This record gives sequence, C-alpha cells and structure tokens, in this order.
Amino acid sequence: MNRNTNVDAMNRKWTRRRFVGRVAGVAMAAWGVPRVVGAAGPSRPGASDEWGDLVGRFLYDGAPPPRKKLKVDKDIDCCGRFDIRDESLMVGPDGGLAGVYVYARDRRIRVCPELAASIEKEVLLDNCDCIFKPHCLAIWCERQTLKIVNSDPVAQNVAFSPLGDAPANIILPPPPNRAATATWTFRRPQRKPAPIACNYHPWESAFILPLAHPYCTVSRADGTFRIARLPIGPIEFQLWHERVGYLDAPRFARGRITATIAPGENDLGTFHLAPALFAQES
Amino acid sequence: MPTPDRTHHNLNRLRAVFAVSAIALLGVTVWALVADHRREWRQYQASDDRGIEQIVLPELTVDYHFCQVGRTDRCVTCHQNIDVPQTDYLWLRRPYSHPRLDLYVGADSPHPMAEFGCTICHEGQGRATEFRFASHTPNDMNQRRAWRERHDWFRDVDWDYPMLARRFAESRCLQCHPDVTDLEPSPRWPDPPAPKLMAGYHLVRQLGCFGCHEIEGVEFRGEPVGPSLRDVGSRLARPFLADWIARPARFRPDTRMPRLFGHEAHLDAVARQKARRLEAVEVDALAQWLRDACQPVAVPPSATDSTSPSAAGSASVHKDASVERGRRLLLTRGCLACHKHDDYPRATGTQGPNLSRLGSKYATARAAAWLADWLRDPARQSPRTRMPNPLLARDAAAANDPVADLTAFLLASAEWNPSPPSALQEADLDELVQAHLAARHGPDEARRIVEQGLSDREFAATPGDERELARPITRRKKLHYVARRTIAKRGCFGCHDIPGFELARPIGPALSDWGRKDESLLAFGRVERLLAADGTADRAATDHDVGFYLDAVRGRRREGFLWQKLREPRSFDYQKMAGRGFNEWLKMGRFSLDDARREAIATFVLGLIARPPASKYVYRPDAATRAIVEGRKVLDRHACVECHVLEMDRWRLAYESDEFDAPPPIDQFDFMRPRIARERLDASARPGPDGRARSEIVGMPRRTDDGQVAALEGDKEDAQGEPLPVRAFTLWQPAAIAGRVWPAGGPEVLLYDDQIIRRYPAWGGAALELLYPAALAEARAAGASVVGSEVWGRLPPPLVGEGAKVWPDWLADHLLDPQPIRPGAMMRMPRYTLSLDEANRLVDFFLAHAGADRIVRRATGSSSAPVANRRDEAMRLLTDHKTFCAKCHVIGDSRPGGATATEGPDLAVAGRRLRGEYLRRWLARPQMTLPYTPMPVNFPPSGEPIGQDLLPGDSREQIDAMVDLLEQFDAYLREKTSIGDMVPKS
Repeated sequence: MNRNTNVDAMNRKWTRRRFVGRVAGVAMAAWGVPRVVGAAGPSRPGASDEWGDLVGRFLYDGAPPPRKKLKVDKDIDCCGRFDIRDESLMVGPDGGLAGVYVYARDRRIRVCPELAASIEKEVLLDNCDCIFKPHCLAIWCERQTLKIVNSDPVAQNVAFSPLGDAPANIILPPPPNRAATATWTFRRPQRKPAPIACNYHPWESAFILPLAHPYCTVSRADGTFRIARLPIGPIEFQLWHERVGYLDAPRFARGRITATIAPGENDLGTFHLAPALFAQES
Repeated sequence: MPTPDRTHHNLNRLRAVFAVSAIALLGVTVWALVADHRREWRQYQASDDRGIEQIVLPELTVDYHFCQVGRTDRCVTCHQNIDVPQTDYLWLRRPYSHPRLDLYVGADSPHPMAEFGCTICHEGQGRATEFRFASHTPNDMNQRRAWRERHDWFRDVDWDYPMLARRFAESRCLQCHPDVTDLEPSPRWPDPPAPKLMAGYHLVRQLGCFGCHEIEGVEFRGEPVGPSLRDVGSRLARPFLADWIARPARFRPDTRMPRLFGHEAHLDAVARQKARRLEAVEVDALAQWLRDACQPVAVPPSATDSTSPSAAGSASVHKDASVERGRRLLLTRGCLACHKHDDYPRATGTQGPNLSRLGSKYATARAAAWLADWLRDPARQSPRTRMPNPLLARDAAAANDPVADLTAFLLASAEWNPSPPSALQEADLDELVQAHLAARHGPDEARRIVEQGLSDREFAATPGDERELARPITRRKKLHYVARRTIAKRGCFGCHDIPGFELARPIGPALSDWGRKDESLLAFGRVERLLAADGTADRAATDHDVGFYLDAVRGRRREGFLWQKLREPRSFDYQKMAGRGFNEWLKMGRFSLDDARREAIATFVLGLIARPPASKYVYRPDAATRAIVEGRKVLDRHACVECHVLEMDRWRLAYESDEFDAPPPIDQFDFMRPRIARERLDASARPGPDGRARSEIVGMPRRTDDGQVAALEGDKEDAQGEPLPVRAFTLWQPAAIAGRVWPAGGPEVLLYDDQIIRRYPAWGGAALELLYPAALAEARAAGASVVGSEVWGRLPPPLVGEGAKVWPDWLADHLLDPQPIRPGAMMRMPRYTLSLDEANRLVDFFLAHAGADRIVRRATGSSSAPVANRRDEAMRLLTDHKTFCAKCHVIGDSRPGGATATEGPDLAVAGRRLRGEYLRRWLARPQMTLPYTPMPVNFPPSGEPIGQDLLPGDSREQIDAMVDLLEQFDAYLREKTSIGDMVPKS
C-alpha cells in the first residue's frame, strides 16, 4: 500500500473536519507504524490536557551513503588530526536520518508556560575538533541567546547573516582567552535555517534557525524527533533539510505537514524518504 | 457753384458712405473682438486669462531670412503650467506637464524655462500663437490624423526649423552637449536623460560610422573599429576570405561588419546580372590581394612549438591541451565579458567578435599557432588592438598551459564551411579593370592597357594603383589592381588598417551638420516607387512607424532619407542605373540593424548641426564632471564596465510609516556611525500624497545561485497563508528609511515588490551575472561551505568609491600593469593597451567619481610618536598566524597555508595601495566598506579587546597602530634592515 497517499489523505481529512483525537489512529495502526499513545500512554511530568508531544522518525530509504571526507588544508597541526567528514547527509546504520528540522510554521502559536519557564537561556554552538557542534541548531529569539565557544587551540570565526537580521562575523581566539566565548542575540525569527560558516576553515558548516517560539526540533542520529508540549489542535509543521531545503516530498507538499495534537504523545509514525530526494551534484 | 439740391444730394451720399463705413467698421470690430475672444490659446487658459505669454531670448538667435534674430517663445501661452507636475495643484488647468521636469522647464532643473525657452530643444516657430503655425510635427500617422481634425494642422514649408517629432526629441541635446557621455545616467539623474541619443551614439561608435563619415565636434577617439588586415592573409584561407567578404553574416550572424556585396533588391535584371559578375570579381580580387599583400608578423617558436600538425593537416593544438578546460577558461578568465560564444548563450559581450566556429576560420596549423600567440600577447601581433593581454602565461606550478587549452577549445568547432568560390571569368575581370581605367584614360587607352599593360615609361610616370599593371600583364596583376581600386572605392580602410591605404580619406559624406542638411540636396531619386513596389508602402496603414517614415520619404525630409539609407543604403539608385557605370553606383554597405537601432542612429545624426547656440547655452562641465565625462570614454573604449560595477543598484521605495521597524542594532565605533542629515531622515518618514513615504537605497540585492535577484519568503502572508515574496537588499550606502538610519553593510533591507517603485540597475557588471554562478560552483566544488555573497569577493570588484580608497599613483600603475591583489580571485585583471593619457584620465575619473582629492600627501613616517613606537607590537599582531593577520593574509613571502581561494591580499603592499582613512574604516568594520567580505571583525568596538598579549590597548588604539604599521610598512622594514651590515668590510 502506498503510505504517502494515505498520509496525505489523512492530513486533508484532519484539516477539513478539524478532527480532534489521536493522530495516527486506526489507519496508521493498520500499516504497522507505532500507534499513537494518548492519554493511556506514559504521561510526562507536567503534562496537562492542553499540551501534547509530537514524535516521529525519518528513515532514509536506501543504504546509508558514505560521508565524504572533507579537504582540511588549514591549521593542519590541529585540524589535520581529526577525521572531518561531510555532515550534510547523516544516515544512521539503521537508516535513521538526522538533521531534519521540524518546526511549527505559525509564529503566533501558543507557548506552554511551563515550557517557557523551563527552557535553557542559552543555546551552545561549540567550535570543537575543527567543526561546529552541533551541526543544526534552533533558537527561540525572545528567550534564548546563542553562546558561541571555541574549544580548539586555534582561532575560529563564526559568520552568519540571517535574513533581515544583523550580520555577524565574530572572531574567537583560542582559549584560555576570554574572547573565546561570545554571545549573540537574534532579533528576527526566520522562515528557514540560516547557514553558519567559518572563514578560516571553509569546510566547517552549521545551521541555525531563529524562531518566534520554542517548537522546533532536529531529528536525532536515529532519525527520531520529539517536540514537547505543543498546544492541542491542528498545527502545521515545516520540514527542512540542508540538502533539499523544504522537504518537498509527495507526502509533504512544500515541506509541510499538518498534525492535530492531542493531549499526551502524538506519533506521526515513520517517514520513508527516497534517496533521490537528497541527490547532490558532485 | 453747386445748387442746394446737388449739395443736399452729395451730403446724403456722404452720409450713406459714412453709415456703411461705420457699419463695416462696427462689423470688423465685432468680428475682431469675437475672433480675439475665440483665439485658440484661450481654450487652454480658461478662466485665468493671462493673455499671450512669452519667453524672450535675445541671445538665442534663429535664422530669419538670413538675419540672426533673438527668439521669442510663446509656446507657454497654450502649454499652460507645463512646469507643474501633474500630481501637484490638481485644480490647475494644464494640457501637459513636461515629462522630465527634473531635467527641463522646472525652475530647479538645469534647463529652467525662463532661461532656455522651448524651441532651443524642440525647434518649431516659437512666435506662433496658433497650433497650425507653430510648426508642430506629428510623431506618427495617428497623431497626424488627429491633429488635422482637431487643429487644421498642415506642414508649414515656409518655416525652416519645424519641430522635431517626439521620437527625435533627444536629438538637440547634442548641440549643447558635444561630449555626449555627460548625458549618461548619473546618481543625480538616475533616469537616463537621453537614452535614445546615447544608444545612437554608442551604435555610431561601435559600428565605426566615423570611418567613412567625418563627424566633427563629437570625439570618438576614432581608431578604426575593424581588425588590422595587414596580416590576415597569413592565417585565413582564400575561400574563407572570399566568403567573409561577400557576406560576413554567413559565418558570423551577429557581426558588425556591414554587407557590401549582393544588394540586389533595387536592381533591374540587367543591372543584377552585371552586379553579380563584377562583384564576384571584386570579392575574388580582394581575397587574392589580402593573401598576396600580407605583411605577417612572425609567430615566435614558443607559440609554434606547442603545436604540431595533425594527421588531417588542419589546425592543431598541443597534444595535452584539453577542450573542456579551455571551455571553462573562456568563462573563468573573463573572455565572455567582451566576446560571445555559442556554448554560453547567456554571454552578452559585444566589445569583441563572437568566438564561435573559430575552427572553421583558423583552419591551418599556422593559423592555430597564430591564435596561440595572439592569446599570449595580442599586442605583439597588433600593437593597437584593444584586446588586453589576458595574462594566460603558464603558472609555474600548474601542469596545464591555459593558452593551449583555450586554443584547443576555440578551434574545436570546425563544422562550418565556406561556400565554394565561383570560377572567375577572365572577361569580367578585364571588363572591370577597363571600367576603372576608362575613368582616367578613356575607353580606348583603357583597352590597350588591359591588353598590354603599362610600358616602363608609363609605369614611371604613373602614380597609385595603376602601377600594379606593369608589363608583362598577368591575371594576378589585374586582380591586384581591381582589389586596390575596390578598397579605395568601397572605403574598407575606414574600418581596417590596410597596407598602402594609411592616408586614404573617408569615402562618405561628412555628417557634421547633417541635422541641418538642406533637404533639397538629398538625392531621393525614385526610391518612393521602390517602396511602393516592394510592399513597404502597404505596411504604412498598419504600422504607424513605417507610415511616419514613408510620409517623410514622400515629403523628401531628412528623417525619411536616413531611415531608408539605413534600411537599404543603395535603394536610392532604383531605376537610375541607366547610363551610369558599375563604379558609380551607390556603395554604402548595409548594417544589421533593427528598427529601434536605426531610429537611435537617426536621433544621433539629426542632432549633428555643427552650429552650437550662444556660448552661454553650451554645457561646460566643472572639472570633476569633465573628468567623469572624459573617463567614461576610456571606460567605454576598453569595456571596463562589463566586469566592474561603478554604481550599485539604486532602488526607490514607497512605504507606510509602520512598515519598517528599527534596524537591528550594530555594534560600531563612533567614527563609523553613518551621518544622515536630519532633513533627509524626516523626509523619509513624511507621507506623500498617496500616504506613503519615499526613500532611496543603494546597494546590492541578494541573488540566487544562478545570479538572479532572489525572491525570498517574507513575513507577510497572502490570504492563503503563503509568505509573500520579499527581496533582500544589502546597503552599500547608509540609508534613511521611515525616519531611521540604516547603516551600510548592516542587516539586509527586506522589501516587498509593492514597496519598490523603481529599480535603477547597477552601472556595469553585466559579465558578473555569468561569472557569479561559475565562481559559486567552483567554490563549492572545492569543498567550501561558502555563503553565496562571499563569492563576490572572488570576482572583479565593484569600483564604487575606488578613488577614495586607493592612492592615485598606485591606481595609475595598476591600470598600466595590473598585479594580482587577491590571491583568491577567480580571474585576474588583464593588461590593457592603455596609453599614459588614458590611464591618467581613468585615475581622474575615479577620483572625481568618488569625490576624492587627487593628491593627499602620503604619510611619510611622521605619525605621532606614541603610535609609531608601537610598530614592533603591531608587527607581532600582523604576523600572528594563530588568530590574526598572518592566519589568512599573504605578507611578503609568508603564506597562510590552505587553499589559495581563502588567502587574503598581501599586507606588505596594502599601505602602498590603500589610503590610511580607508584602512582605518576597513579594520574597524570591514563589512561596512565591503559588505560581502569574509574578513571578521578583529577589533570589536565593545567588550574586551583581543590580542592583548600581542598589541595591548583598546580596540581603537590597536586599529591606529595597525594602520600606522601598514602605511609605514616599507619604512619599518628599512629601519629593521641595516645596509651598512651588508657592505663587506674591507
């Protein structure tokens, strides 16, 4: 059976009828994907009837592609020691696809007060082993600042220029210099992640997505993702991956999917993504 | 003595006469009053009856029956309030507002109405107060019809200066602006002041019209536009030459060379046969002569060494050469800035020839060697060529020879073949030789010379071309004679350097005063009949432009003559061939032009009137403007603006006051804060009549990977919740938007399409649209995670403000002998064949363009002691390769390591190039000066300064010390070097 068609049909149905209930429901269960665990499922501390979690998983529908070794030709004494590889397509041994951004499109989305109160004030971007760690970041403009750290014994710089926001090109000398740590505040939420580069080390690359809310996640190494404490009701999510931009697959036209959040955990199931989607000109 | 009766009778008669006279007078008076009341101009004045208004211009004379009389322009009597914009004072009655009040008529414009009047530009009878007598000229047949119905319009043949039709309105700019290039758009007048005239000027310049037609008063820096023919015979085969001469567009459809042969539309059957026979002889003779009279420049062994004849014996190139690499070089070395090639359909260069199919042109091993040598150093083969040396010399480290690769690629396409030459008929050759000779010697003598040749005695007494015909006469000698006569007759030397024709005079009539040429002297002949016969006249009813010109042909007017001359130059011979020899037929070649270009040329030529108005009206630019005007000519000549942007994009915005928030704050030094006048800030927040405020921004819109202006997703959404497209614009100059200051190089301004009311494109940089995607692809292929905008740093840089950035002496040196500046640049600047004068003019241009002084005294080691004493510390920071300069920059013989593409310019010579003030601003915040630079902020304006272990002090002090060191780098090195120590002690 073609799952794509069914997921699409399901989305339309939800939107049309404002169907409130379990996300995957009987139809998803019938295809063998994990069932939605609703009120009966394991509840998270602090969960109430107004908020629900969204989980799911991205699977790369093919053999994990080899990660190209990047050309490291600067600061060889330091950076040459590391096995630095392309991070633009990270597929785990079981096909889990990392690095897919999943975030709510609506900037005015209601934010769970407990989530807002408990959220970290800083998001860390570390220059470590001559790469940016982590590779994909998201930040809530109003409540969070970016903390940029250089952990390497060579200077780094961090350059980004999000659309309509102040551009940055910050120099980070090696520690223990106090300037090895810098902070940055984003003033403007973005529609899609902005690239981060290091001009000293052209192979370094990362992405950051400043948003007007905290409802964003990036799929982990095994391809799973979770967004916690979403307001219940239908929410449109945007999916983005650095190789393709908006994940414009048949299931998610223009990289969008609408899920109706119910209290508790809402499982979107597993999304199988064709390798052709990520093909890159060499 | 009259009787009382008779007296009474006479009295009655007198009374009757008086009564009739009185009635008549009353009638006339009433009629006069009524007629005066119903004057045409009154309907334009309505209630505010101002009477006849006039502008008296005593110094601006016009020829009135051989008398120079001051003008009186009464046009404003009807053209009421022409100086008031249509958008202002809506209750005012006005048939027209002048469409360019910024330039004309308006009191604040450079041509205020009270000073210039109207007829200085428009012509026409300024004294007339009726439409009919003002000598209006309709712009097309529709207008003509409408005027006839509405105004009883007629063409007033009694007035010598009829108004110019609107389509030629720009012509008269030329009389007061003979420099022409001062009419190009500028930041003050971004709307082109005279686009059609400028298009015409550039066409005349590029097509080389001045080669055959003298055009005094307009400087063209008139070198011939075609290549030298001195040595073409050594590299071009005779079939190619013959085919090219006969019909250049067959090999190169977009060639600028006119077609000189095969014009037959106007010929009858007999003349057509004759033309075919004799033109074939001419073509054959020219091809033969060009090969025989060739003066080749030796191709040095270095060029020929790299070639070896292939088995086929045709052009060949080095065995290791790669066509694929050559194809890429054509793009990455910037060739496509001036040339086109079929493999790159987006290339727009027109400075040089189209380089497609060169394999068919250079089909021999010698030709291939010549091409390789040409690419190595064009000036060696042709000292006056405008082609720069592309500096393709083999890099010591590179395994490949770029010249061999490029040659291989250019010669790879060889599918095209010249048409087979027709066999030459001896009788035709003799007939043509005889025809030429007969003009001087008479038919009998001519026949004798053809048969026997010139005797020794005759040879000694004969000057010129006939010396080719010395005894014993041969076929080849006759061909040479015909070739030379053909070149003289058809004026090939107007565009080409041809041996033996160095001093020949142009063959065409002078155009210096063609705009006033007496129309009765124009030889229209029977061209009207031809236009009727070939169907052109039938198009007049549907095509109003054709109708306009056809009417001008029928009226025997200049514009009609020009139109037809540029369409079918020889058609004026129609039905006039009888009794005229072949050599007396019209000779002008036909250029490949469309209607718009023909009209642009006509606009320019009609503006040539040789007699400028009183000197107070002739534009005399100030020194800075003159420098820009003169510099533009050099820029045009060398096509500098194909690669370099000289004015950034300029967009005009309209917005409601709440549409822009304050820009995100930027950490910056006080001396870097943009200063914008309070009035300008207030104006940017003041709503106009439509409720929207206006502003103008200068900079660069963000582009997609393929070089187009990107449409990004904005915050606003449409009814379906889809984001509206938004453009991201990087400011290169500080801007005032909605009452707030936006700094250069700060956040991009996000603009919805309805907020952009006008986009003035950048001046220059057409080739960058092709080069940008190539550079981006190259950077990414090399593994760099570059953000698109950084790639601009690998391309030819914009030269906005260059005069204020670099030292003039360095600039002059660089123009004459460019040295690499940025190691990471994809292409380096070629070396142009600039004269010293041209280099100076360019330097003056850049200084004037940037509003900079020519000479500012360079600091000569006289910085204040506290700063100068810190040079050792500054040197420590400069040479620090962990964090600071040496990490990325070349400094003398120190290289930073890593890919060349990421290396920064050599700092050992930066002070020789860059002015101190520029260096200071650059170090303080590089992005404010060059928004796309990847250089990080090394000296943060706030927070803790870095590099304290190397150069202690706050960021400002660090910057001062670094600027001092860079400026005094040579002096510093001298201090550190003791020549005395090097002198051997005896």
